[in-house]
Amino acid sequence: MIRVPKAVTFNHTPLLELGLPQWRSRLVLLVLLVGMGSLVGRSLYLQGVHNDFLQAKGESRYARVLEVPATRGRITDRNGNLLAVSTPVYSIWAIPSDASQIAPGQLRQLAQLLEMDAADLGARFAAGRDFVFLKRQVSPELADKVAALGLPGIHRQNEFRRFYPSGEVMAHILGFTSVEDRGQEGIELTYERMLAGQAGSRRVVKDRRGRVVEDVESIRQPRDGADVALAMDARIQYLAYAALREAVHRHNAKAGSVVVLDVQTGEVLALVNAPTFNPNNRAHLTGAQLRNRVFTDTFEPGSVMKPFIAAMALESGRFQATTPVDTHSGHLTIGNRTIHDSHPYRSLTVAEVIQKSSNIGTARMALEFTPEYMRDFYARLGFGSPLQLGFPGEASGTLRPAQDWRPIEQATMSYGHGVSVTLIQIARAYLAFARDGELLPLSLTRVETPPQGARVFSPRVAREVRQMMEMVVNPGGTAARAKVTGYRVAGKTGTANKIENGRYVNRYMSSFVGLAPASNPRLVVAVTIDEPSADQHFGGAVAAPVFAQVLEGALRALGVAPDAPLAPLQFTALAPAGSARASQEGM
Amino acid sequence: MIRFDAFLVALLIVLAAASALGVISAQHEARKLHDAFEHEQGRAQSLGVEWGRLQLEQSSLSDHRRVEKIAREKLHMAPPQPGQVVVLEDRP
Repeated sequence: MIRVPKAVTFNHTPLLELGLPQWRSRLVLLVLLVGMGSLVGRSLYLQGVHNDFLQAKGESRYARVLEVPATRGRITDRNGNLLAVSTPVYSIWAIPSDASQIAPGQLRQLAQLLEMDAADLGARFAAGRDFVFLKRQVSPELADKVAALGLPGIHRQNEFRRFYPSGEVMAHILGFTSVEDRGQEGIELTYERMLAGQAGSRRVVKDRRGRVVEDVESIRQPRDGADVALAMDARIQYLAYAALREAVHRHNAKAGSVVVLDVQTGEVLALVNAPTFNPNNRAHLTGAQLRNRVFTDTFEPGSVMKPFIAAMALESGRFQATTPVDTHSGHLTIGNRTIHDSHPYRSLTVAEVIQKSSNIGTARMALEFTPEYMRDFYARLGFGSPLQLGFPGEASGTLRPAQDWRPIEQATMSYGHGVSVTLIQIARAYLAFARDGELLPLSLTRVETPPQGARVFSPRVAREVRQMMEMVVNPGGTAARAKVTGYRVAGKTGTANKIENGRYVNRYMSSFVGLAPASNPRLVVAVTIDEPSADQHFGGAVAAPVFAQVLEGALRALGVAPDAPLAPLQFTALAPAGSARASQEGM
Repeated sequence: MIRFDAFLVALLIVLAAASALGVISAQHEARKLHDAFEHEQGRAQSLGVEWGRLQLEQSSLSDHRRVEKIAREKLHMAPPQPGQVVVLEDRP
């Protein structure tokens, strides 16, 4: 039933008049609604329910995670002088595939800056790796210059480099760090946990120009390493270093060590070894020069053990300082072996046994006691067990069980053969003389309150043995050259044959251990010179002058009041020894 | 009545727009300040680094080996001989 219009115009087409079925328009509407609904649903899903992915994508456009570097703690001496410090440096590295596009002229410029060979650089880029270090630990100025070249594929990375201003003087005690700034030796290793810093990181918002405009969160707080204050006194350390170096050179010795202890606190004020090394120069960080002999090398101490036997004898009450000891005119046969004295006497008092360093006299005293008693006495002085200062590679020395000591062995052990010790053990044991019979635990770091000591023998015995050891230094003793003007000094020489493949050979370990001022001791100084091979080898001639030189400077540096008369007349009387030493002084 | 309503709506629209602009400028200001803060922090850090380097320089200049060398060679100093030492005692 179609009505035909009168005229057909463009807006009156008969087609528009056609009525379409209702369902068609409804279908279109439905399709449109479903389409819109799915879009709304999807956007709700993306914005509300499952929004992590887009969030992350968005954030990656503006948010950055920045590393916050932490520096390694510094090491200072007891007076705050800087001994080790880390400063920022850069490492220059390259992505070879990018860097291979560098023009030859620019490559030459780069090689010149890095002080490398241009051909070598080119070879590194051609190596086909993804990452290659060009040069590690360059100064910030140089890194800036490299960055200014603007070369493709050349990058830099923050690093730290450890500097040791005192160089080889402190080398053994401080140790050194790896290229990654981790402790490898010495204090650097022992106190690694304290010194090491922990780098942090934080999330920030950066703008188009790379400026940080907002702190979002701190992911991990950076923690700078803590500073470590050592017990060392840089002045005394230097004195010891200079004196030891000179002595090792003069006596053409293989090695040598010096330890200085503070009597009041048990702090290690100085610790030097020769030969030494420069920790600032990575090229030479190998070999025997790295050994901290004071801790790691054991040796037969020889006569420096004799004062302990005298103390043991006096403590028992069976001997007095004036008790005569039969010294058999220089020969004593025990079992099938004979022990000798280099200067024979028929008989000496206990005090003279120490003064003249008589092997036989010491052995006679020791044999009055059971091996168990003597071993226990040695053990209480700290021999045979490590000091546990946490120092890497510390040796314990050997002190055999008393059951298998034969009499001849007990005799030789009384004068320091058949036992082995480290120099730090000997120095610590002498604290017992200096502290009126008390032993202290030692410390490498600064001590605020001195620890509790352990009594080994009575104050009276300690004072009497100190007096005997003063006689060693006075005319008639074995070490007149250990004298220090203005101070009373007590000490003991040691000259021990070295053992090679189980046999004693004609090479020596010369030592001197002593304390001053004898009236109220402040310092213990222990010196060993290993294999002096110039003309002399006796401890009194080789090690004692080093002892005196270190002690004199150290006492002056610490401002210790002199306890010996300083009248000029006294010096005139002592002129030969005094002037001879003065001319050798390094300081 | 209708005119009052229209006025209120217009006012609120203006206030909302002003507040939005305020937020924008405050945010911008905050970012600028933060950038300045970061800048100063960087400066503090590089000053710290320089301080460390100066300390290092100081300790290498005051190194005992160097001091001794200069004292001996340039200043012609020597350790005092026994007779030259005068000890002052603190007498009560």
